[in-house]
Amino acid sequence: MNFRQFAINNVLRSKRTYIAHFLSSAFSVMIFFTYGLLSFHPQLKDGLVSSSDTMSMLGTMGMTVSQYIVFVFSFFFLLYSVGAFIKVRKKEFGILLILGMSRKQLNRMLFIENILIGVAAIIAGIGTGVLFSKLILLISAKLLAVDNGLPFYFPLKALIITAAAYAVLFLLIALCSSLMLRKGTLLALVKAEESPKPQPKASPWLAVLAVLLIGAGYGMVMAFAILQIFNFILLLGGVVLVVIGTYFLFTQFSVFFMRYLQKKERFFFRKTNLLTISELLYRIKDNAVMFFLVSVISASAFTGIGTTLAIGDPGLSAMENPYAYAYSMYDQNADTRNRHLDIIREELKKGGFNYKEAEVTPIFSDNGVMLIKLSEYNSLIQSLGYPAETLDDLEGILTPGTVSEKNSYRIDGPLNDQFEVLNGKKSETVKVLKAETFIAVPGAYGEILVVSDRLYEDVFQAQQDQEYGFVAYHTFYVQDWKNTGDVSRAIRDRLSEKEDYSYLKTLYLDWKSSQQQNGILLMVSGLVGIVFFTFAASFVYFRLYSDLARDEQQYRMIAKVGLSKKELGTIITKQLVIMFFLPMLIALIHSGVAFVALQQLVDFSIVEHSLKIFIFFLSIQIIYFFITRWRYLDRLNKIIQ
Amino acid sequence: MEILNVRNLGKVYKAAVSHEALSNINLSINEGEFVGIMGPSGSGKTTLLNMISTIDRPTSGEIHIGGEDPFRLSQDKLAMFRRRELGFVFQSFNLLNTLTVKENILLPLALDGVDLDEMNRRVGILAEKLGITSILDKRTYEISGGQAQRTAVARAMIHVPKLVLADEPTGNLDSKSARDVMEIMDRRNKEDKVTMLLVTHDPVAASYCNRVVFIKDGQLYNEITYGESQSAFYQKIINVLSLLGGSGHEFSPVRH
Repeated sequence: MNFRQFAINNVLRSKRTYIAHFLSSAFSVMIFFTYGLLSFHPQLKDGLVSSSDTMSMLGTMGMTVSQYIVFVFSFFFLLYSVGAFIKVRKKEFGILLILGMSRKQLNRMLFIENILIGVAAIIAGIGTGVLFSKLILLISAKLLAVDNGLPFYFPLKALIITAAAYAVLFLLIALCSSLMLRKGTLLALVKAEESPKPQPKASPWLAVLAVLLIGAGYGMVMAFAILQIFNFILLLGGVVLVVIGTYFLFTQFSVFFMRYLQKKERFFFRKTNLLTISELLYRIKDNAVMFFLVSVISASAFTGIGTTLAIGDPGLSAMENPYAYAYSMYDQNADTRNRHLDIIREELKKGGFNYKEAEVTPIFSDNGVMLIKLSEYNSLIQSLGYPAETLDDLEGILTPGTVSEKNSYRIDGPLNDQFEVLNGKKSETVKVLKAETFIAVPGAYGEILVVSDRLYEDVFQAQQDQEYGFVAYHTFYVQDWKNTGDVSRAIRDRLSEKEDYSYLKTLYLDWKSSQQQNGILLMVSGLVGIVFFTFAASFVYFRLYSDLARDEQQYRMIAKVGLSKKELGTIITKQLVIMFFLPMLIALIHSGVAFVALQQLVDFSIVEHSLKIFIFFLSIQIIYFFITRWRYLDRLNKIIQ
Repeated sequence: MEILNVRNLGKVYKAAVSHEALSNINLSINEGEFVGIMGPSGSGKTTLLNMISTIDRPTSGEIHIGGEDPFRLSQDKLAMFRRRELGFVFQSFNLLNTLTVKENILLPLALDGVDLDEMNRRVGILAEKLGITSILDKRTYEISGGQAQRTAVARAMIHVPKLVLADEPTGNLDSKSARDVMEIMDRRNKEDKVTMLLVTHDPVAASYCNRVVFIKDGQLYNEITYGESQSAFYQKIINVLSLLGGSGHEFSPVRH
């Protein structure tokens, strides 16, 4: 056994010490590699299919930025896990130094170990990355709404960059790990395990403050969403309060609560509670800051992903504009106009779609009120499937032009009971019957008043001598608009043949373009979220590992007093459940509140999206929990026998 | 030849209330001697051993091992010094559980880059003498406490150090295993002239020594030497201990 063999044996024979470190390293390599794989993809590099230059630039930039983020976090994460190892192994290093190992040799040993793990992690990470790249490409093509999917390719460039970047990273980590052992005397190293921990303390005032802060924060966010007070400071303030509250929740409230349970002797002295609670008290106090970080990071990841999912929902595009096509033309060339409309009809028929047409010409009164003719309005809403309205001569209906107007109508109703309409020289007062809560008029902005045909015509006549004409919108409503991709593209190609003053607003293409943009966002936030999340879960694993030596001793002792395997299992499971799911629960509550707030702002239901995200992350966490529990109990059971 | 020389050694622990753990200790050990240090809890015997082991620094006085003052050496030289001149046996064995018994024993040689054949030869001989040949390929969690301590003794002696330091080597063992370990140490001392310093509570273990030094409240109290038989020496130790006072329950009843 020479020195190198000794270092290698050290790693190979204490696999458990290194397995979490190794897996997390390999995972971070894999994520980094996946980013590289996508950003160097030949097809993605020339821009995403059917998108603008700005968008593909944005996409590439987003990818680059998140690549840096993953890299930087990997560094700190790996540094943390190496630090945890060194803490666990302090005694071992003490023994080695007493036996006459020089500092130089110790550093060399650490260096060899780190390089060994690094090389293995790079190989494993890239290996799994290549294996799953086909799958990853399929999923990202779906997320990015690239209709034809992405072919598999051998990602040589991504491979080289990943390997090189992580080689440098592991080298740095290896150097840092030697530095970590610099301070501390030999005696301190050998006795590292024996120094006792002080009893955790908490202030009841801060514990109460934690709950109050979180409550106030929730209140502010809800006020923002429900009362529609769109003030950025209100939203930011709410988030900040929740973050501070969460910090105190973990550092103060949790300890305070445990201490309270300890005082309840009837509860505390019952069976294994005594052990569970007192162990947990130390664990939670030790891990409070970590719990805080994990829950805040997870909450932001959940909310971010949820919001982007909601933005990608077809409901959002349809919420702003219900028509598959809205055609408008700025000069009055009826021939061109009819030819264009015929093209749309022809293509829709060819595609086998049923459609309903309508036409509307909004005009302005002299005092700037936008008016719509009742008969035209009725044809619009009937094409959307609503029943026709009737109005008396001087009655009107308010219909919203924007999403925020629609929301304000829904919550507050019409702001004015009546409108003055200036018509040439005379003024007429229109009584507002109601404010409608769906968008029916295309291309509009600001309040729109539906008035009787007579009043509309009067105003129209009075405006006739103006130089500018009014723009007519011709709408096509298609129930099944989500499948009009081919038709929409064909129409777009045929209409853009010549320069003219027409404009066609196509719902499908708008949706795709918003999805394209947000798909990138979604993927980036999703992958970053997953990385954050894995790192967070690994933190828990490492904390457990660094306590394992102490636990072994403790439980061996307790087992002698008479603790069955089953009871040990109960104690450990209870503790692990709290360590794994408490931060998660807080994160879920936080993002749940955020989703409720978000729901107030949009029409379609986001429950499905929120549930999907919760279930996804929860299942990952559950898997992680069971693996950890299994390995931990396995280890302790062996010790106790 | 004098192996260990301790002159006016003192140790003060600086804290809110400073505590003088040791003062004015003088001690000399010659080559081939087997010396025990005894004393009640808190008397300072472990502090003394830690300083001789070079893992703690004295606040006053000097220590010379083989004529060299280890506290004047640079960090690297000190490591070299520990590796070549000192051997350690601990109460809790302190074997590395990632290594086999054999690997644990030859670790000091491996650190020193000794030739492979030479390492194997020395391990073979020593394992035979210590009766652990059959467990050489086992891992540390597969062997008993007595076997673990014999492995630790082998590790402390494999590199033929000038001085072997043992801190309560029998503290974690049953009386049979304790006696086995002490007999092995005694035989190495007699046959191979290994110089040994032993800190112990256990009068039985101490009775294997040539000489026992007693410490009380950080100062030397008494010193007795081996007479005609081990049992007489044992009785002498018991007598001094009872004179020393301390708490009564600390000493095990007569086991002979």
